[in-house]
Formats: sequence, structure tokens, C-alpha cells
Amino acid sequence: MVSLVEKSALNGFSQIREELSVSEVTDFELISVAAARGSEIDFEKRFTKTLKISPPHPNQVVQIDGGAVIWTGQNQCLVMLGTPDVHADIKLGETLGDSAYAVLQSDGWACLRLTGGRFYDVMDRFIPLDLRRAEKDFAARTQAHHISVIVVKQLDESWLLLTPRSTAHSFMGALIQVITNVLG
Amino acid sequence: MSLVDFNTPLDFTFNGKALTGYEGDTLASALVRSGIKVVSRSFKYHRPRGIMSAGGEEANALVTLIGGGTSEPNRRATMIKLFDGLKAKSQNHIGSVNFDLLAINDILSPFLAAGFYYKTFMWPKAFWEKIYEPGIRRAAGLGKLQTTPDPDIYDKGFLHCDLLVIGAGPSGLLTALNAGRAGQHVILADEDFRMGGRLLSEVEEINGSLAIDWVTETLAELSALPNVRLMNRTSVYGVYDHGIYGALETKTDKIGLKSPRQILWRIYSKSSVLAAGATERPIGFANNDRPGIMLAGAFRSYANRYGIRVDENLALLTNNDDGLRTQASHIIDTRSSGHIVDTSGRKGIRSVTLNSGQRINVDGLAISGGWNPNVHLTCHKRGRPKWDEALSCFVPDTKTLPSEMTVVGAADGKFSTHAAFESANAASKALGYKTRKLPKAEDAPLNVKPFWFVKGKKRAWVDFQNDVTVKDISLAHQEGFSSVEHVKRYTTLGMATDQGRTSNVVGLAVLADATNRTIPETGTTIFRPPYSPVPIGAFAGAHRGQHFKPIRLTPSHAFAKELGATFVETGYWKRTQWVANSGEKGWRDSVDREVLMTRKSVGMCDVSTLGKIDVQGRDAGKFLNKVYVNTFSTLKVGKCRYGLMLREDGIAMDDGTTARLSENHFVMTTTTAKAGPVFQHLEFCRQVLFPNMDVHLISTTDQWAQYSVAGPNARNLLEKIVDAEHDISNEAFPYMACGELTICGGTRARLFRLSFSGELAYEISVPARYGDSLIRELMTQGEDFDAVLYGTEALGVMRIEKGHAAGNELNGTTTATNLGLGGFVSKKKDCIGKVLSRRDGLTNEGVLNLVGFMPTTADGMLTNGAHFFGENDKAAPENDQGYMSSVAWSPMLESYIGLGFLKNGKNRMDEILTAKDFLRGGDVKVKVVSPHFFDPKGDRLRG
Repeated sequence: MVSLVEKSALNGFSQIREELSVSEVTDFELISVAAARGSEIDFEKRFTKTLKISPPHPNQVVQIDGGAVIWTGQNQCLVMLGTPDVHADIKLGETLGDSAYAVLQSDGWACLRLTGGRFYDVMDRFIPLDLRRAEKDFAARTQAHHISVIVVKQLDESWLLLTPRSTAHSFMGALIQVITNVLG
Repeated sequence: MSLVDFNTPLDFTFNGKALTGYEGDTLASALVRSGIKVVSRSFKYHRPRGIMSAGGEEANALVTLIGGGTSEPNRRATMIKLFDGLKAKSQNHIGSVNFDLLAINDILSPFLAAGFYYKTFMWPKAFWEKIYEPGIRRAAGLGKLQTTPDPDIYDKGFLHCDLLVIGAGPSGLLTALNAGRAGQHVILADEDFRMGGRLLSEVEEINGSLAIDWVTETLAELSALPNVRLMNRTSVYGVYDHGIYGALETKTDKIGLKSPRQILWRIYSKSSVLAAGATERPIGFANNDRPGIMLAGAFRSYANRYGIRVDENLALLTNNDDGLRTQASHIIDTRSSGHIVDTSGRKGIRSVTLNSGQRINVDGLAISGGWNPNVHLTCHKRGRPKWDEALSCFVPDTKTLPSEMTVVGAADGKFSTHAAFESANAASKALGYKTRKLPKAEDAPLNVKPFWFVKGKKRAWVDFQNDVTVKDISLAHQEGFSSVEHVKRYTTLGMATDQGRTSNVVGLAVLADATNRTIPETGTTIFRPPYSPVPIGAFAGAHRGQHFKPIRLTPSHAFAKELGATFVETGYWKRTQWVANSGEKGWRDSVDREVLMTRKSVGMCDVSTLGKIDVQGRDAGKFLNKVYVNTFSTLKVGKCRYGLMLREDGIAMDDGTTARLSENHFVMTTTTAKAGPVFQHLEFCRQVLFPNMDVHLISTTDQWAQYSVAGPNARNLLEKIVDAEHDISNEAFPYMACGELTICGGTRARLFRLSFSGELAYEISVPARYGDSLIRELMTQGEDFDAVLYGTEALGVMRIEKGHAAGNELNGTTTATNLGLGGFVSKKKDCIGKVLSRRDGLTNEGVLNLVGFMPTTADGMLTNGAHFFGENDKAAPENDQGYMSSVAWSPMLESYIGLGFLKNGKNRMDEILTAKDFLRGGDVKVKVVSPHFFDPKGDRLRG
């Protein structure tokens, strides 16, 4: 018997172009955290203590050590950790105690990093939101080509696109098609 | 002042004839320059037609563009930017454009009046469908669509701005400049490939210099502003709610390129300024449609913008001062009581006859019947324009404009350049932008005096594109159509690509005259999107072929593909349907083998597609009690339970199993098809019905890869991968047990002892990152047991053998009672759908029950969808006893078996019925049996 091998949603896809590069991010864990009803204040305290920052506001991403926290709903967020650990949800759940419910979501999402000067020209054809005027800590859930996507602005002006794993190939195909349409 | 680059010639062909135009030409201007007068045949009468305008209002010059191995019909020659190698042809004729056999229609015109097809072709009755209608259909229509796939690429996109300026004439340019200087994010869109509007076509001055200089300077400044986006060749075709506008950007007219030809933009704008200009209208008189008759403004466009020497012997018919800008040898001004009553020249105008009887030989005729502001976009949100008596046209009514829209320039009836600038500055100020000194420009009044049409016996055209004449409109009125909307539909006035831009108001005037009303009393038709034609391909955008819809793939997809699996679409998912081995002659061979091997040893099936919903919270058990008919709050930790969910109306919604992983943590599974709707339903229940419950829901469908491992050797196989510290013996991990454990040396996993197949079976799940690796490892370890991968077909066979309901049974019409699950409905608690599931009609003795069926003969073949009738009853609706919902060939029983719903079925065991398949034909005798065909006591699954 062998140990099981990890495989990312897009097999580590990467397309490097001067105007816009796309590469799959694989070294992360994603944990959905939701406050228990009636424990919102306790949740905020424990969250702040654990992650050294307050939970994000709507359409906001806040940076944490080695990761980020993305607002996804009322009293709910996605914690993105830069260190792979398939038990991260359990550990975070233990820290937050009864104040919150933590669910592993890392495998449910594919993550793409986009960098380059033509990012906005491409996104004009892909994402229905006004990313050109997005704040530096902007994050939002929307859809592209009928596929769900979370767009996250990074401090270094790069962007992350998170999309469900099962449709990641379709998403990727549509994105590459749009890039080809725009950049030739 | 020509804006054509005569140093850059462009070769093109029209009807196969080689011609030359220049950079900056449209196809229309190039044809005019080449002396081509007849460019098309009219819709109904097949009259020779020439170019009548220089813009998007063109009603005559519809041509077919050829390229890329295909062609595109009904393109307006005035909107096609000439390119080298362009190929175009005229349309709507049999024979050449100059000798059209269908021109006989012109001779038969007395029989082809408006609505003729409603009144003729009545006899003999049978001829309509076989002869008349096909013949009319063949003759009708303009261009012909290709039946091959469109080779072009289209795209869609989204733009956001503070201000959308629609139209880049003087008022649009100035408004955009004011907003751009104010730092606003501005989009300036114009359907022409060159911005400037009428300033490109008129000889006039702004600030003492040529108007084109002001246009050039303004565009240069706008281009330099990073907050301004200039979009030429972009037609804003629709206004929608919440400040959303539809726009079509044409990148090229070439066909078959690898880059997008057109882009459909959805523009989100905080406010908009409509500066769409105005359209000149013709005047109705006998034979006013001859080639060589053009709108006066078009003559000036071809002369001034395109540098074409227009006919020296030109006549002008006008009812306003603007028409007098046209250089003409003969001026007929209706305000001085002169007008034209007829013309001559079939393939090019030769003379005009005046009301005085004078006949003047001419080479061309320019007509100006006044100008109509382009108000269409102001009406897309139920706005209605108002009649301006002084200008004799409809202008936007500010009371009914879309809330965020302002109208400026000629679109608002401000026809002079000065007035256009003034309105632009006024609108800019109202929007909060600073304005600068108004550019100095002409301010001549229009001085229009209405003159709509000349009454007479001959045909006078109102709608050139649809061959609608003054007589047609009068006839429609005589036949009882007095509403403008009815007249439009009866005569086709104002339909098709030009949307009545030139014909609408003239048509209203004719109708007003016939009904003895004023034009405002007559009213206008309602303008709806799209204002200008949008190819269907542009609406589809990139959603074609592989991008038509998203495809969901499971973690084992690549592995199944390597094995040569056949896939089936289940919702968006692609699931393995079966995996053929070499030597197997058909799908049945593969499915039979998969079933037999699973029942004999062990088989694996990817069930990752099942919906998985993580339910957590102190009230999670109580919440599940509400949404399921049976009780979950009492479910022990480490156990699973089957659950049935009802809709509010008592009909079964979905079923599945739910596992309790800890006191406050459940994992629900749903069917593949209902994963989305069930999650939506649960969120509705959580947020709206039970907002005080502490429950949190999140989909984990994509998070976990899950495989069913079924068959007598299922445990033996799993014991090879489950880490030793976890005991999965029958005693430690009995039927319906669940738990979190590790496999393959520490990999996180969940195990559920569930069985859809009726075998000793488990569902094992791992984080999806390990899904591919796990299925490969299971198959490797399963080699000792001749393990097989089985697909949805084998899964279906085994569940039918066990009498388990699936999508065919949970079909939106069945209740728990129908499904034989009435006993599941807890009497101790309430749940969604419980009350309405007890309605009399759903619980009577005679309701449908799920039962099994077998053919009475060994060679009897069952088909789903067949209806049941008593052996001796007529197969008629009043005798209908129920229907077959699922059938399969059972390799275990070596017979067809079926599940179906039968009236009072549970009490009709062993009865013989006729199953009649109305769709495919044929009937078969069937015996009513228990739905549990195989291992009815469930010994195997508990083994």
C-alpha cells in the first residue's frame, strides 16, 4: 500500500505571458468559519485573538500572517492559510471553540493567481464587477461564464480567483479563451 | 474637406465586379463613388433600389457579406467599413440585381397589398400548407442565412462608468469633454467608425475654423484623458434597469478571423447622456423609391465626408431650411407650394414631375422631409416621446425618461450646432461638471413646415425596407385597423433592421390623415430593444462549443478516462456511465459484467457528485427534524439515517442519508440532481423559517471525493487501506455506521456504511486532493478480488433490483405514500410538507403505490413510460392504472424488471396487467410483484 498523493484541481496550471500570467496556487488551506448564533461577540474576540485581526467587513479581505481572511457572508468568512495542513480546520475550530463552526474547504476550490498589466482589460470580458476601481482590500463573490468565483485583490496588485474545483477546468478554459480574445 | 484617404486604395467586389474604394470609405460610399446605383431589390415588389442614406437608418442597401467560407446577410452597406478584399453581393432577387425574375411582383402589385396573404390563397384549403405557404416562405425574406456554423468569434464584457455618453456628435463630444475634465469615468460610444456625427458631413465652422478641426482637437484631448474610454463602432442598442445599457462593439467586418469580430458589452453607468442625433425623413410621393433618390443629408455626407462628386443635375425636395444646405440645380420647396407628384427611371431616376405638371430631367433627387430626433433609447423603460409642433417631430418627454438619462443635441430637438453645444453644457452643469466657454457655431433655425406625403393613385413608399406604401396604411385603416400598433403589425411598417427610423413618423402622418386625427393623437408604437441589429452570435458570445456550459468533473475523471469509460451528463456533471472491457460487444455486456462482479466480489463507483452539505450547530438536529419527515435529533453519533424531504405542498423533494459525526455536526447527502435546490431550500428554511436556530450550512460537495465500495469483498478490500487502528469489522462498524478515520498511512478520511446496491457496502470519502490517488489505490488493492469500476448504469440496475427510488420516482409528483415511505413520516413531530401531504387526494386507498413489475414471458421486454391497463380493458385514459418509472435488465434474475406506480398497487400483488408504451408502441403482459427483487430481507447489506 502506498501513501495517497495530492493532486491539485488544475494540476499546477501555469501560463506565463508578459501582459498577463495565470498560475494555479496550490500551497494553501481554506477554512470556512461561521459564528455560532448568539456567540457573535465571543467569536469576534476569539477570532481577533487567534488571527491577530478583526473579521473582515463585507467585500473585504484582510491580511494575516501567511494568509488572508475573505468575507463571504454575515458573520462568515474564509480563512486562507499559506501552509498546507489538511487538518487546519480542526485546529482552527478548536481555537475558536463553541463560538464558531469551521469547515475545511481547501479541496473545494481551485485558486489562480493573475498578474500583469493587461489584467483589467481581460477582466472586463470576464468578471461583471468594476475591478478597475476596486479598493486595495477588495474581495467579492460573483460569477464568470456562469461559474462561481471569488475575486481577491492582493497587496502586490496581483489578484486571486477562487473557483469551485469541479468546474475549475471549464473556468480555466473560459479564462484562457478570454485572454486569447483580448491579447491575441 | 473629405475624410477619405485617397492615397490608400482598397480593392473590393460587389456582385463579383472588381471595384476600388479608399480608406475611410463605407461600402455604401465606395459603391456611390463607383457609380453603382442599383444595390438591392425591395422586399415585396422586387423594385430596384439604391442607397438612400449614409448611416444606420439605411433601409434599402442591405447586402450580403462574403468571407471565411460563409456569408452574412442583411448588412447595411452604410455601416460596413470598407476593407481590402471585401466581397459583397446584393440580395433578394432571382437572376441578377439588374434583372430580377421576381420583379413580376411589381406588375402584380394590385394583388399584393397589405395583408394580401390573409385574404387570398384561401382555396382549395389543402393547397395552403403544401403549395401557398412554402411558396410564400421561399419568396419572402431578404438575405439568406447560412446553415453552416458561424465561423466568427464573439465575446461579451462588462464596463463600468460614471457617465455613458451615447453619440459622438457635437453635443456628445462636448458633454464627454466636460465630464472627462471633471475627472469622471466616461464612456463615449458612437456607432460610426469615426466620431463627430453630422460635423463630419456638413461644411460649417466652429470657433472660426472648420468643424472637423474642433472634432479632431476634442478627440485628441479626450484620448489623452485616462478616465475616458472612446468606443467607436459601438451601438448602444438597449436601456435596461439599474443603469444598465447594452452595447455592441464591432471590431471588424471581416468574416472568419481568429479574434472576436463583435463584443457585446453590458455597461453599468451611474448616469447617461443621450446624444444620438436625429434622422432625416423622406416624403411620400409616387415612385419615391427609385435608385438615385436619397435623403438630402446623405447627399451632403457623400459629397463632404467622402469627397464624392455628386450628380450635377440634382433636384432637391425639401420642407425645411436644413435641406437647403444641399447643393442642387433644381430646388422644390414644399413651403412654396411646389412638390413632386411622380418620378421616372426604373434603374436610376431620370426625371421628376411637379404638381404644376412640369417635368424636369434629373440625375438625382435629394429629399428632406424634416428630422426625427433619435428618441428610441428614451423609450426602452416605457418612456413616451411628446410631439413638438414647431419642429414637427417627436422629442423626448423629460417626465418619462429613464431616471438617470439626460438628452442633448439633435436627439432633444436642438438641431443647430450652437443649440447642441448649449444643451451639452446645460446637461453637464446639471450633472455637476464645470463647463467652459461655449464654442462658437452656427445657429440656423430648421424652419420646417410639415409636408408628409402626396395623395394619389400610384404607390408612394413610406417604409422602404418593408415595401409599405401610403395606400397600404390607408387600406389598413379601411379594414378597421386604427391603432398604430395594429397598423404596424398588419402592414409591417417600421419592422426589421431599420426599426422605422425613416418611416415611423411619415407612417403616423398617413394614419393620422386617414383617421382624421393629429399625429400626437395617433401616437407612436413602443420602441423596444434592440435599437439596432445585434447578431445572435454576439448574444451567445464565447458560450459555444466547449464553453456552452460549465462541466463538472469528479476527482476520478482522469482515471476513468484512462480506462476508456463512457460518460453521461448528469446535470453539469460528467459521470462514468460504464467502462467497456475489450471484447464486449455493447453497453449491456459491460453493465451486466459490472453488476455481476460487484454482486459476486466488489465494485467501486464514484459518488462524489452526490450533494454533500455540512450541517453544524446546537440546533442542527432540531433543524433536520423540520426538513426531513423522519427524526434526526435522536440519531446517535457515529450513525447514519436515510431521510426523506418534502416540499411545502407535501410532494417528495429529495432523499438521501445523513450522518452524525458529533453532537452538533451532521453531514447530509442529497441526490446529484437536487444538490443545488436542496441547499437553496435549506438556506431558505434556516434564514427565513427558523432564523433563531443555531444552524450553519455549507456545501462540501466539491471538498470531498467519495467512492462507493460495494460487494461481498467490500470490507476485505477496505481493510487493506484503512489504517490498522480503525476496526471496521461488522461488529465495530455495523450497517449505517459512520466515522472519521485515516487510510493509507494517515490520510484523513470519512467512512459511511451505506448501501444503495443492496450489497455489503461503504462510502469512503477523502479530501478531493486525494481523490484520484484513492481510486487508483482501491483498484490496485482490489486486483486480488477482481474489483471493477462500475458506472451509473450498473448503479441503476442494482438500485432497481433493490427497489430503491431515484430521480425517476422522485419526479415532482410523488408523495411519501406513493413511494411506500408513508411509515417514515414521524407522527411525533412536525415537518415541512407534512400537513399538505395528508390531503385526501394524496392518501386515498386508490393512490398510486410503488411496486415492481416483471414480464410474464421470458422474452418480455419492459420500457419505462409505459402505462398500465387491466388485461381486458381498452387502453384509454379512463382505464389508466399507473405507469412504469424505471426498468432494467437484471443480470441476477435474467429478466427485465421494472418499478412503477400502480393504483392501490400494494394490494394488487400477482395481478396481471398490460403495460402499453404509447410512445414507442407495443404492449407487454406484466405481473405485479414486490419492488424488492433481490435479497428482499437485506441479508447481504448487513453481512
